Amino acid sequence: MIHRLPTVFVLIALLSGSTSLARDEPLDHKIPPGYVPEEARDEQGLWMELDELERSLNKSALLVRDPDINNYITEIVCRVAGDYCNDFRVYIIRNPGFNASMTATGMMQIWTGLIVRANSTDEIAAVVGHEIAHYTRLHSLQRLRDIKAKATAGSVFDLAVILATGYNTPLGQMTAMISILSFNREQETEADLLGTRMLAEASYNPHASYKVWQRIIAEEEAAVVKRRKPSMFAQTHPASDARASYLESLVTSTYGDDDAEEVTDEKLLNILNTHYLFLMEDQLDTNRFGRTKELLERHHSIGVEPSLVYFFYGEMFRQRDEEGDKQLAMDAYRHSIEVGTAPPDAYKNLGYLHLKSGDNVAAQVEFRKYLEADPAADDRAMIEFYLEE
Amino acid sequence: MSTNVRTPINRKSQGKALAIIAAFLLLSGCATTTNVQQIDQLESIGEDPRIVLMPPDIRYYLLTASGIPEANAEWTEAAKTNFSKALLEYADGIGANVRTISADNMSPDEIQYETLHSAVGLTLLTHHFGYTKLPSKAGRFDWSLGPGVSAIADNHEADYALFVYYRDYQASGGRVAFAILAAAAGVGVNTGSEHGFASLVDLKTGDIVWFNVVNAGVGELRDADSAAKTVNALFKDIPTASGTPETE
Repeated sequence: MIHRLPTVFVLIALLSGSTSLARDEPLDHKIPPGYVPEEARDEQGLWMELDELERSLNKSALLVRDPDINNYITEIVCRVAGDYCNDFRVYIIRNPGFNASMTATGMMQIWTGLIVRANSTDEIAAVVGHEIAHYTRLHSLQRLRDIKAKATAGSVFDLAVILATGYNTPLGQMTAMISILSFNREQETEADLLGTRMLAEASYNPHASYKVWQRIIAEEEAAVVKRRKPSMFAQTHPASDARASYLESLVTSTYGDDDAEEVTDEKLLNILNTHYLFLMEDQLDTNRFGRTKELLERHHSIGVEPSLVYFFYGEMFRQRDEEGDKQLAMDAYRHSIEVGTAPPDAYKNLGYLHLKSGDNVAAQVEFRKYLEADPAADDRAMIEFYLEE
Repeated sequence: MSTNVRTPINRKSQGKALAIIAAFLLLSGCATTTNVQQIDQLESIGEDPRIVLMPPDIRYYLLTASGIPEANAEWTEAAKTNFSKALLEYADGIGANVRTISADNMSPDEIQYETLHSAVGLTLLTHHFGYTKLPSKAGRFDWSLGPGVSAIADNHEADYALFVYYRDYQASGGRVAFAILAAAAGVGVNTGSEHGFASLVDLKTGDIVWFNVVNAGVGELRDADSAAKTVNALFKDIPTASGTPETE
């Protein structure tokens, strides 16, 4: 068997791409605005499937249809995309995860989890730029072709090994898999670099490109349950810290240090303040307390309406319900009520916590305030039942 | 409405044997269709039962050398056109009142029902025709898309809706070469497959009143003649206003 090993290494060398950032060709868009595939059969097939996917996505219950949020994001997309603006349809998906995606056809998905994790519109624009770069560099199609070619090479290699030695090993396919993932990471890096350039060209702060990753790292550090490092066969993207670091050095060397003044991002704050309840309810439902707390601290620091932020501190402690959390939750609800216009649920949930502690009088006081704040509450009958007791 | 299931596959004594034969036929690449019929005759408030053909969920793939399927737009488009045309001609021949609706002209709910139909049909293949029978069903065929489909009746003035699902994987030259090499190495690989089904749904109840499966060898839809043959095979037992048509 030993004498066959060189073949294996040749194959590995053949299949694995370089992961260095050094480039021979300048990084630029590969397709013009308004691109539609003409000749290539595989590309047409890809578009057909994606069109069908888009048809059903259009009808998804998870789609956020609120015009404010849609206009806010579409405006960012068009500004970063420039001439490519009309190539994209933006779909905002109700999902608390940090994610955005782009198809070969220009169907762009932005998860609400991205909106609650951004400290500024520029940071959202950074992610948008990355996704647009995937599109203009034809990454989906290239990936498809890369997978086909490598899977074939890997499988043929495995068959050749069986024919030559009688041993059935998955070596060729495993090598192919590793190489496909490496190609994937290269594309991600490419999209990071081109996306950052588009960000700067659209007069957004290019420093946002790495800051958005620094936020993700900070959130990870605050997490009670950490994400597991993906195995060798699941590393589709470069690690967050690697991305933050290569982007920071690139941006700083190209555009200089970040001298932008910290100003209040009115547009982002307006979106967060208006839609905070549903955006953070989804985050809360993930039951990831460390992460939720880190986000709330951040929202407080960037100027999100304090009564909203405190309300969610209350919600967070009430759901966690560990030793002392009940008191923390009650304090937070009270704080929320004191500093501004608290969501009506602040009164109700405070009332329920009183009820649990056996203080029916205090509970009824809060329940009355709840019904005053929200006379059309769905659970009015239930609350009135408690008031009659 | 009668509820008898006339297909022998539901008779316990023969069920297993037939399932094995069906599986054998499927594997050996011969034609096999499996039919379930819940009603003998279509009903309508008007004179003529009206059937609406939902945009057929048909897709063709090229099976590339390593076995990764690649959707093919040209074949898929041709198959959809040929299928709808052949079906309308067939309907005309048996005197059924069938109309088509365009995929661009569907309501959000109709798109969801198409997806639901595909999901229910695939479940049926596994749990009614396949080996993993659901014990609680006890062989009964009582599958439904739910009464919500009545919206389709209102939108399109129809009594029944016909849903069609079909997938075809054609081996590329590279795949065939790979299969030959693999055979030499003693490894068997998939060199393409085709499967599909059609359901007639009562739009008053959402119940699937007729269901038919197409397997390997029958469903070539890319040219008009074979599409007509496929349609004949698929719909030969479909109930009509005057009862089930005579099989040729």
